[in-house]
Amino acid sequence: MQKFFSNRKLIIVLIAIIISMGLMAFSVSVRNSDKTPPLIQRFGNDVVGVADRVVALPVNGVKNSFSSVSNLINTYEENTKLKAQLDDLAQTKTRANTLKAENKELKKQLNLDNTLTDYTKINAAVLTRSPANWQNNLVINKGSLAGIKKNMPVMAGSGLIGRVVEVNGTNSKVELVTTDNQSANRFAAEVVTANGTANGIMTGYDKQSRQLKMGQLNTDAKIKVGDTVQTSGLGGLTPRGLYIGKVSKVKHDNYGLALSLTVKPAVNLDDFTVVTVIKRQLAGD
Amino acid sequence: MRMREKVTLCGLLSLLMLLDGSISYLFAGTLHQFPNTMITRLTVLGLLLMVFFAPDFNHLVITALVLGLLYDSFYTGVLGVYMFLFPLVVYFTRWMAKFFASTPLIIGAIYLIDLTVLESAVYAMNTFMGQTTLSLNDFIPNVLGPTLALNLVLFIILYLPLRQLIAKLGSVY
Repeated sequence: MQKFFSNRKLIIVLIAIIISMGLMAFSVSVRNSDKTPPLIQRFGNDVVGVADRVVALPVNGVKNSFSSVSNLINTYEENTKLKAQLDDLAQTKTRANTLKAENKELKKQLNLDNTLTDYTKINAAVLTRSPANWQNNLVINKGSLAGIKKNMPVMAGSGLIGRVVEVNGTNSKVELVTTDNQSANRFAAEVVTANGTANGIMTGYDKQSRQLKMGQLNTDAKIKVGDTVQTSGLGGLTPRGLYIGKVSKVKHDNYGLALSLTVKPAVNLDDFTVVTVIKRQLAGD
Repeated sequence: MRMREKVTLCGLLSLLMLLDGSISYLFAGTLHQFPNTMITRLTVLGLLLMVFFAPDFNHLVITALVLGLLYDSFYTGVLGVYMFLFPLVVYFTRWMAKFFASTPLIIGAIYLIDLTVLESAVYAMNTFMGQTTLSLNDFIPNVLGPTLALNLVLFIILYLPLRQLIAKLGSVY
């Protein structure tokens, strides 16, 4: 016993292990609180974030030029495909605008200021990504100064990619929907079917097939492959109607009820340079 | 070693840390392709080479601690992981370096041992915190193996330039 305690280095290592375990337990337990990170940590992150802009600038430049070259190669093929969709789109857009205007008028008559579907957008660029893939975090270049709050949903292109988990002054962290983290905050989603909607929760991500999983569905509405999945706006700071993807597989249980779905995400969850943070106008809980 | 050299070496370490993230983002599609995950560890390479080629840098453990804290805070938000492991890597490397002559081959081998210890410890900590559900059987071939392979390649490419840079920055003017 005497000899064990006389070993100075061993004691230092033991104390270091205890401190690091304590810090880990602390940061995991306060992770979902609104007040984290503490001011000093936020300040440190801002300083690193500013330094990272200098490194990220050339890297993002390289990434952008690479993607422009590959875009150029795909252009012809894409162009023929897009031309076919374009005629349809013009009509849809006109109709959407008319309906939007009408909706606004009707809301005004009902004295409804904001509903679950109203939101504004904050555009941000991706600064960097956590090197180890355990947390699936991105760092984006907008923070509380731009009005970003914890738990806001984040989109890239036309689809949902994740959620803000930490906000600093000038940068914030986004946890992707692909995360394996068991304590991650999951999105409430709904499937739009021919006869009504079915509510559920995005429960995870299948890395092999690169598709999202959806479970805990509440109805036996006839869900078909190809139905649209979007956020339902129930709970948190997520508005209704953010596009997530399309149903690609329906798994039934013994009674024939749809229990879990596989959803093909609308965007490539590994490749994006610009993201949009969604700010719901109706205050959250 | 004077203040000025220490500051430049710390600057180099921070640059390597930020490069880790940028490389990981730039090649996200290649590095994180299912089922393999490759993690760049340039920061560890910097620390390792400083143990060997800047022996006058006597506050390297404290530097590693602060660097680990920034790494944790900036990338993951979970404190205490790299803050503990970066100083451990420095200690471990110093301890192993006593037994061998510092030739490139030996340094490469020590780097691989360091990385194995580091990755396993990070995996153990993430499992402990419930951040991952990956099993050990998947971790060894899908994360540890590719990570070692990637970092060995990076070591071969970067060994000479980084060694010269550190030796130059660390030497007294």
